[in-house]
Amino acid sequence: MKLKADRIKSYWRVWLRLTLQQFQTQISNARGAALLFIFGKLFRLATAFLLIYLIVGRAKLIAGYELPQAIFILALFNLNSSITQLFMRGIYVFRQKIVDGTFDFYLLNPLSELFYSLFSYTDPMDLLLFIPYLGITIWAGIGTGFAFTLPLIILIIITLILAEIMIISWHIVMMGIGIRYLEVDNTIMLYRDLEKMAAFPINMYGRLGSIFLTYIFPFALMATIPANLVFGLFNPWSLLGFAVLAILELKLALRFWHNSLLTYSSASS
Amino acid sequence: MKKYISIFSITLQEYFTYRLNMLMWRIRQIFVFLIPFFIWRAVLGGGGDLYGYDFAAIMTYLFGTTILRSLVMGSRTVDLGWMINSGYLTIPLMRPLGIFRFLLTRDLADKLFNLSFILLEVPLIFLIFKPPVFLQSNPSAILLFVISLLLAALMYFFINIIFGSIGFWSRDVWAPRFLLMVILEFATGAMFPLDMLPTIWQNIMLMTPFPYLLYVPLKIYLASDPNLYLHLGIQLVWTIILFLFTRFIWQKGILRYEAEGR
Repeated sequence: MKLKADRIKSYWRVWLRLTLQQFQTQISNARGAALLFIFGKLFRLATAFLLIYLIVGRAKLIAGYELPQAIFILALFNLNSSITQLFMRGIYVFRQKIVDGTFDFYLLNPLSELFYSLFSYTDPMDLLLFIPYLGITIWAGIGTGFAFTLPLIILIIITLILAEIMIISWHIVMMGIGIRYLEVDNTIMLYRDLEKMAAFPINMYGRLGSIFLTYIFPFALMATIPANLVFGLFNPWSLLGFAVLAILELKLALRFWHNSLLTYSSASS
Repeated sequence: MKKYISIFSITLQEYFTYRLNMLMWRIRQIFVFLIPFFIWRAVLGGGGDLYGYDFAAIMTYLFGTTILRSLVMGSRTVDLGWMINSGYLTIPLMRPLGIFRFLLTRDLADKLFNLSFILLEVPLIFLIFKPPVFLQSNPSAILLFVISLLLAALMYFFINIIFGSIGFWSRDVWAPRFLLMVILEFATGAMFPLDMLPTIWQNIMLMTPFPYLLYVPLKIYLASDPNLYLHLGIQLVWTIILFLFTRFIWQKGILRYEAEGR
């Protein structure tokens, strides 16, 4: 037990050190760039809200949801997506690490190569954005007029954790593909395109689309399901099924990762 | 001319080097259409209209932006900032090539590549989603649309050179490009037709070059632009302004180029 705690502590210390280094790099190289990024992300969010406002404000309903509910779903999606972006940024440079041989150093490290590949590029600017995003989500949640009780908040957090487990699984699969076929960049962008579908109520995509975006990809868990919990449209016990699914996806993803590692030839080093 | 044909051919060959990469990229082009299709189907699929658009009209618009985006905004010049910062720009500069012609040739190859795939993808989208779209048959509207399309492609080419040239002054070219992408997504009318905005905002937007990349060419195609000739005129003026600014920025920037990294 103590060994496990020590190991977690090591991961935490390394992650903190890597994040601090990222922050120092940004401060020394690109202060203006960081501001442009923050402005760009806020502008993008504002335009998404505007789209919802223009459509649902006039149409009154979208897939059975009213304007404040649709806004809450978008805000929840944005918050959840930013958490993913915040912690799993490493995937965007993973292909380069394979191509230039840096991945060899990850393999030689005492900590997991997966940890380095996925979590070593945390962007502190995203950390800063998390606060306004959380504020916007709380504001949108209050705007729906539904009551937020403590058990409900705990259920939402559980849902988001399950979503993150499934998201991590998919990121592991994409990195496995990267090792096998040297292709990550377009795969992750395709995943991100699909992920954007979660910004709107999932039932909008029809029966087949909903199944696909709920049970295969974790996108319903990112926004529609936690929002439905608030609106009283989702049975919390169903989360148990999603917990099983999340663990299964993670196990399969890890197996795929380990099999992919066997094909790694370290050709670039 | 022969050397530019070679560049054209090499650019096309580069795309086929990493085939899975290319396949994923093309699949993405189809997915771009998915979200707006489902949003508008949820709202207008049962009939009625919103801001004067019924389901067929909005589908034609979105279908059009998907195709136009590939043609106008398909570009290799987005690499320019990286070329400057990595020193790769030295290679085309040392060759007996006009640098703008070199960049434009690569852009044209990219557009041809996109166009050939669009011809495969469009029937696929039709088959899967069966979007009700309007096909323009008026020859003058088609001609004006083609002119507007060419101007849009040129405008985007110049915008890319201007933003890429930031690399002469800063190592950080990605952040301004990210901001440009976010602005383009909204201000070109790719997200939704700009005439859904209040009139004052439409007028402000139409003073910038961005709506002339997608929104105006599409409105011309749909023959639903009441100020067609005025907008074409403004588009021409923006193309000239962007060309002059591109030349100015390039001349200033190239003096600072140190071929760092080579």
